[in-house]
Amino acid sequence: MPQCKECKNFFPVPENEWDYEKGAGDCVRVLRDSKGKYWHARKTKEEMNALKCTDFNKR
Amino acid sequence: MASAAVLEEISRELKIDRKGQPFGKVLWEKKIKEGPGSTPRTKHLYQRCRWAHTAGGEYVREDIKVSLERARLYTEGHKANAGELPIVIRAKCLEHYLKNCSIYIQDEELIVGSHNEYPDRLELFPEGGAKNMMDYLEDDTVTPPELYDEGVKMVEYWKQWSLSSRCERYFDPESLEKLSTGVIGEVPVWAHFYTSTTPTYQSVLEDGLEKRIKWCEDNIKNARDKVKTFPWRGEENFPLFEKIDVWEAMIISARAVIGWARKYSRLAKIIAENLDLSDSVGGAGQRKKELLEIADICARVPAEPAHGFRDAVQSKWFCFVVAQNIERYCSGYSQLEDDLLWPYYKASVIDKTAQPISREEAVELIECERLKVCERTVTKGRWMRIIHPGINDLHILSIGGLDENGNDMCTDLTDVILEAALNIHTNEPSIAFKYSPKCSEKTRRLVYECISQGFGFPSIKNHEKNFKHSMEYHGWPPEVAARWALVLCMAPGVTGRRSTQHSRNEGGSGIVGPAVGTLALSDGFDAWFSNKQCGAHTGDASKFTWEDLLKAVEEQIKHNSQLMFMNKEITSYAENKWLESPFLAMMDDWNVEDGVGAFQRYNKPYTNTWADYYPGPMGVIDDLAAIKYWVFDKKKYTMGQLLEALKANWQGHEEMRQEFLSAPKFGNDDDYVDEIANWFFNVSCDVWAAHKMVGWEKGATIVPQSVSAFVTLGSMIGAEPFGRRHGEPLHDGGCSPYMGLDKKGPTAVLKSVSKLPNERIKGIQLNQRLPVGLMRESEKGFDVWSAYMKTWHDLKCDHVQFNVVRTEDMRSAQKEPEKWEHLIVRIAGYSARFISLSKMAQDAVIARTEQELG
Repeated sequence: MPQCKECKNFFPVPENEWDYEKGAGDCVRVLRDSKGKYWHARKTKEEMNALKCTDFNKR
Repeated sequence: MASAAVLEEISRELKIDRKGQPFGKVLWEKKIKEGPGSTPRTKHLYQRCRWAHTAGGEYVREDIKVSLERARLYTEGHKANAGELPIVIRAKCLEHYLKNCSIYIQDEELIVGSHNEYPDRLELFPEGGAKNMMDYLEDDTVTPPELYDEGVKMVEYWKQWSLSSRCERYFDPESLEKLSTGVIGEVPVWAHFYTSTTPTYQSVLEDGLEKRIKWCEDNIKNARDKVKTFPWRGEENFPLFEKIDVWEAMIISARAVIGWARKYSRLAKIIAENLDLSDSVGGAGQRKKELLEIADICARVPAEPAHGFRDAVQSKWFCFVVAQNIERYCSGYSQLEDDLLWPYYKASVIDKTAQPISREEAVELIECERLKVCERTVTKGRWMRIIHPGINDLHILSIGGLDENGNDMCTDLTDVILEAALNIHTNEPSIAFKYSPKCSEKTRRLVYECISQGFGFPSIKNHEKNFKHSMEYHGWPPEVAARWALVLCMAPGVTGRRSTQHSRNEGGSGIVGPAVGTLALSDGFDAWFSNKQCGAHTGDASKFTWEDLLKAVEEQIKHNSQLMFMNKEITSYAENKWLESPFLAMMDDWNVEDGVGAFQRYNKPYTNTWADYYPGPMGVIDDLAAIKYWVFDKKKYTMGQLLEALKANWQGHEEMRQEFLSAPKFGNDDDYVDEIANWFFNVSCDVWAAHKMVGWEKGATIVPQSVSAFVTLGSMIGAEPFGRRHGEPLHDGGCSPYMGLDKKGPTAVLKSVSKLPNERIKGIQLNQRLPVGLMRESEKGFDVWSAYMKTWHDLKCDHVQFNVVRTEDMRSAQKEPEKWEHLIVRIAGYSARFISLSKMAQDAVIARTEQELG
């Protein structure tokens, strides 16, 4: 079962950050729509099951 | 500086090669040929701008959709902290949201920070109440079906906690029903969750949030020391417990905002160091450098004081996003921007002592700010969306004016703000210029050039008149009164570090102007829209004498304004008790000093208690004049005959209608009607002053204006005696003559306006339309306009705004809208993209009298 921490889009939240929690990370994706490109970050956990994630990109 | 030299300097700065042509004409043609934007970046951002405006209450772009991220996180935060004190719950909800929300950075952006899960997403506010939430959820053009059930569950959860439920309990059923019709006044804040504010940006830019957190911590420590002091003093100590809670909520909020800003820093760094930037407009290397600078700025502000211009613009934006988009939705973009940002501009652009940048880079940054505002998605109630067509929201910033000693406050930054507006050609944010003949000629010339391009802004407010009014009617000290900025369209409010207006319940809301006249003719019954007894019982108008009629109008003013002020204060009470905004409070020195919430108004140093007539009441004046002329003076018709004709919506009475249309009309320098106007406004000012809102013993002041309500509320107001039929547009603005009925030229309009008791009125909106040929395509336009403005200023008028647009261009835009996306027109209080207006609103702008000057 793939996990978020194995994905290239996963960036762990550094320990000195305000929103740090053990195992927490940012899922950073490049998204595009009719108006252009943007970089999107949402919270995730390193142990999260990524089986159904269409953006999973193994390191 | 001589006029020719001024024009040369502006031409050089805007890279305009005039070749002997009028400046405005060359600039217009350049814009058509090259598109808006002074740099490749802003050209790109304009082309891909995610406009988020509405028309007819609907979002124009189909990509605009509802997200439930904010509603979901706020609901989780509320459930987890339901046992806490209300202000602490609000702080913890904000903290939970900012910690867990999604963030994004768009390509080429220099200013970062958004309030939504993805671009083009609308976030909802379940704590407002069910009405607005359900209106969005049930609209399947904006709410994806998979979100509906989750949204309905949230509505159920919030029923007992929402602002609606907190407020409704204080009304009797009859008042509630009257307020809910929308016929007599603005729909309550607790129903459509619409409010407005002026955040005290200056304190955050100067102090940084960390210093303000320390201030709150010291206050808590001092309070704890005080209660330990022998002997016990209950009267002094008791209030400290509540203050401690407030300070703690402020600290939670401010720490959360710092942490959230640093999430952007982290994201910018991740993008710069890990991701492909090769398709950036300026190349990968340049974009990487920009992103690392963004990362550096977001790590420091708003936690620390701003050092340079980039810091200040970013810090201000973060505060705006939180205070007006996340913690609460608030309309407006209220600030005295040139005064606020001047120290940072000076440091970066002129002195080069902090974050040195060129003047051109500063112009580009302001263009980016304007585009960012154009992408702001808001979720105000439908009644408000309907009266604001063609815009995302009422975004209005102020510039210019004089200081308390009468010195010009215009700076090079004032000119940069105007030049950026000329370059980027967006209708938002609108700009209000605090006009004085003492303002620099270069600034006045740039104001003129913006108007001549057809932006409809800057709208012009008389600085000296508003300075004096703010001191005399609100009691603000000179140094505060001089630095007023518009809260929304028309009303000056305090800026700076303390005691700004935080809620629409202090200043704002309004009653429908024409309704006080039509309800006086129908014993208070509205037969045209609600079929309800909306107004006061004032008797059978068919038996009225002239004096009876005036008395009935006065009674309707009293009745409707009583409901409005009662509603404002009830909502204010509930907001302060249950729905505080601790971050907004933490930005304000007075709130931190006194340990009180943002919506507390007892002992507030500078109050701003005002309310609108909107749409404006000029229909009542023309109605009364027509009745006096034909019924009581000429005695050609009886009141009974008039009421029959009105009941029939003038159908079958066309000859009579034409006669009533020919009666004296406001705006023609005719004392017959101007004296009625003077009576009406003096009575209204007396009634407003009689309403003593919390914190200000002198009573409220009045602001007649219209936004687009003069068109959209035409369906709510029955036929009027001056000749208008039900459904047709009402008078626009606050004192604009009815379209096409001002026949004696612009000076006659100004003379009629000058006969109003302007010194008592806080703001009153005047719309004028001027010819393109003179304003944009003639060398003498500026001199002629300056002479007009001198007359306007000498007559002590309050306000004026201009449409400079050709009728044939507007007709072409109606036929081929895709070719006229750039066409902007002034509505009343804001400027809109013409093609997004309803046909009726477009026709109303076209029908405005085009004044000939010179």
